Amino acid sequence: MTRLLLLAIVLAVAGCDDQSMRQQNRYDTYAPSKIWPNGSEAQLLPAGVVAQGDLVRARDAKEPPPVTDSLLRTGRKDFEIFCSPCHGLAGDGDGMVVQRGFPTPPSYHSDRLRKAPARHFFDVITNGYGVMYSYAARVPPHDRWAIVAYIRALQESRHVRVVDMPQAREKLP
Amino acid sequence: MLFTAMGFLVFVGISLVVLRIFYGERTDHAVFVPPTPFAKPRLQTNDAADLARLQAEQRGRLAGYAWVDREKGIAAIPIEEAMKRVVARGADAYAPIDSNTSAQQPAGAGGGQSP
Repeated sequence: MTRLLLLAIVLAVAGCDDQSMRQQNRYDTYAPSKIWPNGSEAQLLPAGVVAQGDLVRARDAKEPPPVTDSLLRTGRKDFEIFCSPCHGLAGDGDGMVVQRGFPTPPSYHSDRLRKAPARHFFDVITNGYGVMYSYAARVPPHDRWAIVAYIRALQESRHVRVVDMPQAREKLP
Repeated sequence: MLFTAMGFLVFVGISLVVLRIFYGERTDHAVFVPPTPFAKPRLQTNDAADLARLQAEQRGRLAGYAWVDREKGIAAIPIEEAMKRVVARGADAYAPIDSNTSAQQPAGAGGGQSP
């Protein structure tokens, strides 16, 4: 009898569940919410924030996108925004910052940089080089490749063999 | 004991000389031009006009056809043409420029003449 009573007391005590710690005034993960415009507790990252272990970004940095006309237009726009203040619009290393006393960056139209692999330009944009600082936080990887492709176009514009482009012959002085 | 010490000193001396020569040969001497004083006025009196003039001059360099090296038959072409040529290369678009030009012909081939 005493044992039964003891068991009943234990069960009764176990039933006294205090809910106050479980029902808290907070949002659970992915809970609906009336505060935010998208109606969810989960919010998208603000523009420009890079999550740790962002695999898409890592893949973009590893694999160059195919060079198309629109990629080169993007590269041209970004080059004129980010690179031309020092490197100059034509890539000779004579931008306005240099005109005002900053050290001259190397010209893209040298043999050394014509022979440099595309990854070299990408790495310099990513990590900086010499007095140039890193642009990794300003230019996303896809656009960095676009700039690299545009640098190739700049080099091409200054180094065409006329035998490869017969239609240019008539337009040359 | 004295012999060991002498040998050690000789070894260190030779190592230092060899390392000095090795690094002298192998290290790239990146040349960074120090900042230079520039022409007066030190303050720009009309910076917007200065920038517009500089950019117009640089865009002009990208606009037309010109000879770069007439002897070797190398020319400059407008940037729009160059962008089309880079796109036309397809998978090779990122490759270094020199390996893209017709490798069969020597550098002076054509001599700037139309073939």
